[in-house]
Amino acid sequence: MLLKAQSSSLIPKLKELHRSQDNELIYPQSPKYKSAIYDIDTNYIFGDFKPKTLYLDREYYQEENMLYAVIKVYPYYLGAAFIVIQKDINYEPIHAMEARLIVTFIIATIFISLIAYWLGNLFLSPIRQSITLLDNFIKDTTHELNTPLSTILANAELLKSFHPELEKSNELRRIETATKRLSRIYDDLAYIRLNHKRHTHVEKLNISALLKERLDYFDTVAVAKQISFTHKIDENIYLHIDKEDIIRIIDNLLGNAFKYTMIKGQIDVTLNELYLSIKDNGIGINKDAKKEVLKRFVRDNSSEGGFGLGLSIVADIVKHYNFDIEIQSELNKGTKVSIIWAK
Amino acid sequence: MGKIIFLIFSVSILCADENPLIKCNECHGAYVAPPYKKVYKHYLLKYSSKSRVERAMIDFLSAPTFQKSAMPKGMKKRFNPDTHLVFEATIIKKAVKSLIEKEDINITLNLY
Repeated sequence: MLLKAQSSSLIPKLKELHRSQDNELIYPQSPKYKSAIYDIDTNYIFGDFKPKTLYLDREYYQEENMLYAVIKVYPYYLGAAFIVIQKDINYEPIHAMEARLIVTFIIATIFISLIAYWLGNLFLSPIRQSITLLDNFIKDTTHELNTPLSTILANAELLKSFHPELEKSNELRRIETATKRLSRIYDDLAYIRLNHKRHTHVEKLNISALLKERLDYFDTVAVAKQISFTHKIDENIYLHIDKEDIIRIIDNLLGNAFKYTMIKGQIDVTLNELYLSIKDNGIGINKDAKKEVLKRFVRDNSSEGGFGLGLSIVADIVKHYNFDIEIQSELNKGTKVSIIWAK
Repeated sequence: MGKIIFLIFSVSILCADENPLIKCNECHGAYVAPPYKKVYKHYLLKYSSKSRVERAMIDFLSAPTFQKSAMPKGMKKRFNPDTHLVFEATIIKKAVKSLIEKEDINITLNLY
């Protein structure tokens, strides 16, 4: 458009020349551009240049570093039907604009990033506060629970040793069962709190022996609920694992099995070189909830209490060692949880 | 000697090509019709290329009418193109070519 505007005076000059009676006509030239005139049959008439390529059907075209404009003329002064204007392309304004665009883009990006960061902080602040509160709660709880629990368990043992007749006491058994349950909750909370100290002491462990040890720990609960407790444990099953991790797996799976199995129920424990599985005939898990129960603080059934930490801890450990966890369950029929290490 | 020179002169005159515009000059050269320059420029203004100008001129001169003439209305009313003389086709063609050559814009245009 600028090129056409600059050459707008050319047509009146051609008109003037056409009307002139002089024997010599001086073709109008400009320092800003070059021009040439063509007749309607695209024959070159005259000009201060002759283009190498001609596109009279276009308004503008570019060849190398030259910009061309084609202006149609009517009436045909001096026989000219087309005027072709040629001008050098000046890249300086283009480069200047490119530089301005880049600077603007960078400034805009920085500005938007700052706004996004500020908004993100604003929206995440309540969530961050909740997480901090929860973390503090867990920290305080584990701290407060530790001593009283240890005291109760220790004194229950002392009672039994000083008064053997109390061995069969239901009241003492209930105290022990409840205290052990509290102790497992404490262990789970402590496990979560000591996030950075997990999985640190990996060693070759005899899982068969360890499992039998933990089964003795749950004997009291089995007797109290009259649960039939059977186990099929292969001997000399070894794994490279942190002791605390495997205890967490066994205790949580067994704990859940005992929690959600009714009185006079059945729990079967199987250990071989491929997997550990704990099967019960308890209340089962909802089909839709099977994946959700592995998340922290999620419980399919809240009737038996708890914080929903057990399976999330198991899932975390399984993921760390690259094991698999399989949950088969049917409502009111029971649950089987398998930890598979052999692939 | 004089007779020989006269003979040579007569023969050369007889053999020489006639000016194609000689018949046109009788009117266009004497202001009975518009001057050649004006005629050519008006045809150029309307038809642009030399080849189209030539065709249009030949077409007019072969059967002159008021409408066919490319001259402006005022000039047509003054010189009445209907009354234009009609010549042989070969004469018309040569005359038109000669006119175009004579009045070609390129001859007059210059760069300074």
